Amino acid sequence: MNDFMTFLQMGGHGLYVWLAYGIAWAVLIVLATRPILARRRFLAMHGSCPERKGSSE
Amino acid sequence: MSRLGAFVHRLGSPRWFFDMTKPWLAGLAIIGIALLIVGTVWGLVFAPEDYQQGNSFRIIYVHVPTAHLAEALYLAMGVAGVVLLVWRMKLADMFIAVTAPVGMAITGVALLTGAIWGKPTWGAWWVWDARTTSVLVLFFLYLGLMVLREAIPGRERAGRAVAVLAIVGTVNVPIIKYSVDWWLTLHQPSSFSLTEQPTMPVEMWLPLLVNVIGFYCSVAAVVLAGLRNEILERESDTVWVRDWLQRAQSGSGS
Repeated sequence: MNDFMTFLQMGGHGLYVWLAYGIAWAVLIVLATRPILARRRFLAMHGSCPERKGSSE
Repeated sequence: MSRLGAFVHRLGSPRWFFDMTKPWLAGLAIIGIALLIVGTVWGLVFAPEDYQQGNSFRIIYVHVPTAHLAEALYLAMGVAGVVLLVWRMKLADMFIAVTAPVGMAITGVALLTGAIWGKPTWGAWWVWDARTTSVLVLFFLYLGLMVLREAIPGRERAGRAVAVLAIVGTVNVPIIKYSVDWWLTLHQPSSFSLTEQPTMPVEMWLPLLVNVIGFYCSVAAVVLAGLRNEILERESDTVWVRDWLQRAQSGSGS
């Protein structure tokens, strides 16, 4: 546990290191999620093709 | 026609590109995430601390990859701009449209992590030296590409104007790269060089190399996923997209 705290503190630079990594990870996660959501939106919007209307369900 | 010629010719077809890149996406994403995990744990836990900068130097493992990518993505857009203007390839326009926001986000990460690194190292969050200022210009170039596209009516006209800005803006990339050599800057010199020995010991730069490749693969996957969506959106009236939708609905497409 003590070792872990030392690791988190990063010799007094913990705030800087974790802030930098946090920003990088957050942006990467947002970037990776956007196309997945866009694909879902596209499928939802074009979910029932004109020709298929009524034929499904 | 040469094989390369045939390849370039087929690239002009968004449908062909869409079908061909399906397996690439998963591959890039898996390799990218795996390398990022390895490089990040290696850099945070196992790499030794810097004898001058202590642990704050570990920010290098997110700062250098994003800074490299920020330049590389812009150069790629410049190339796509030439392709669009010379060969009128729709896919090149889609690539620029998809890459601009991704590049802006990555440039933002490079700037923010640089500022966070600057505080304990230089004693200031921000310094108006040649490197930081030229990267800030890069950020606004990305922003400019997005604003310009929105501001000009007509997709084709907007695409051409954006392509011109993408091409012109590439002059900033060598300025960024050589800023640390041409001007007296606070920014430390390049961490990597193809021609010289690394200035860091191997246990410091190897995780950096892993993370650089990890960021490139992950962001390539993000751009590719966005590009495939953009193709679907722009071609949504075509028969092949409607066919694809039917297959996607029945669970076999993706």
